[in-house]
Amino acid sequence: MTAHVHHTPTPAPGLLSRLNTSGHRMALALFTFVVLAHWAEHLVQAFQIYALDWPRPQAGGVLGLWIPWLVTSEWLHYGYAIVMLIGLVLLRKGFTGRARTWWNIAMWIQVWHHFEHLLLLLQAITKSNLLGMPVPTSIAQLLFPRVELHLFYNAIVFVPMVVAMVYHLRPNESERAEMRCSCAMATT
Amino acid sequence: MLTVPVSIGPLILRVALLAAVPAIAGFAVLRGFVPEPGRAATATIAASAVGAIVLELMLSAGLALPPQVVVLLLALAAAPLWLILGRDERKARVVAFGRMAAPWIVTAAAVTAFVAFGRAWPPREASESLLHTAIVFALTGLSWFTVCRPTGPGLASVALRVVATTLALAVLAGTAYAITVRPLERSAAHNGPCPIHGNNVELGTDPARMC
Repeated sequence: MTAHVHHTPTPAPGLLSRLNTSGHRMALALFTFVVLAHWAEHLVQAFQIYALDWPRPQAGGVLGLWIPWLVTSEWLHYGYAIVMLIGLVLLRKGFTGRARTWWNIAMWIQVWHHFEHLLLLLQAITKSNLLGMPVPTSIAQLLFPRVELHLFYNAIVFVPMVVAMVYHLRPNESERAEMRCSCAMATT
Repeated sequence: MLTVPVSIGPLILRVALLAAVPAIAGFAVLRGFVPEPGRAATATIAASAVGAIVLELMLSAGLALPPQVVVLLLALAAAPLWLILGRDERKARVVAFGRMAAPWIVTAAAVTAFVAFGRAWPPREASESLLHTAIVFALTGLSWFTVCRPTGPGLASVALRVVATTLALAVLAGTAYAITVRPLERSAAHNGPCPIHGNNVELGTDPARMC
């Protein structure tokens, strides 16, 4: 008598699963590149205003010199904010322990940053600016100027992201045991 | 060229406001007559109140308040949402304090709103910003009413329901008035054909492009 054993084929892991396991390292590298490129643009803009003494409307970073209309488009800013938020949400599961806590902090700050850009985009689309201001104005912009505010937003999202990545690269034993990706540095 | 004196963008905002405000007001008016609502319902109403305040800010030409106070008022209006959604045991004391303070915040917001409504009457040039200010205070009060627990036949409970109901009706009437007597007519009047290089050019109803 022969026994028939049926093996159910294991379903291939989905994109989200792969992004947080075998592809986590590559996805994080790509995401970090995008974040750094954007942050560099904000730093260049601050440099143009404070070091080169350019008028604020002309200080559009590197991209603003090349394609000025694009930098003034709220769609571009909102597009970046939503890409950033999606990246933070999608890559979150790959983090464990302390790294997850710091990544969550970055994600929740980005949620607020995204709301601010959504409000700016809505004002640009509906042509109804907050409190009758001459240009689209976010809530925190009622307190701080836009260039400095968004430089600050990007900094306070980036710093916890970096802390999360450092903890992710150098996990403790319990965190390493929970990790399903290959990001952690080898123990010596 | 056929033009109508309606801007689609602000119209959409007005429709959204007209959907949100009756829901918020309805919650406050009916609360004494229906079973205590669940967390999802109260969170939806609190979120709607914050959304309605943002819509108000977008539709108004300015409030009778400094911008810094507007930010604080928005944060105050959003706090009930945090209290409703907070399940963390570590925040239990803060949540309990917030619930205890809620009736006083509703009362304070109601008094401020009624004073602003009163000052906005009779209608004159300065009334517009006062009316929008009153609506924002009223919506803040109604946002905090979601975390109140006005149960039982006690005098304080009945008084709170009466205040919330009056505030709800006032905000409904105030919003309806504010968005019908809107600055649109002014923009439409300004947005007639503009003489540019000797030709009459129709600029539509974009207030940012008024000649």
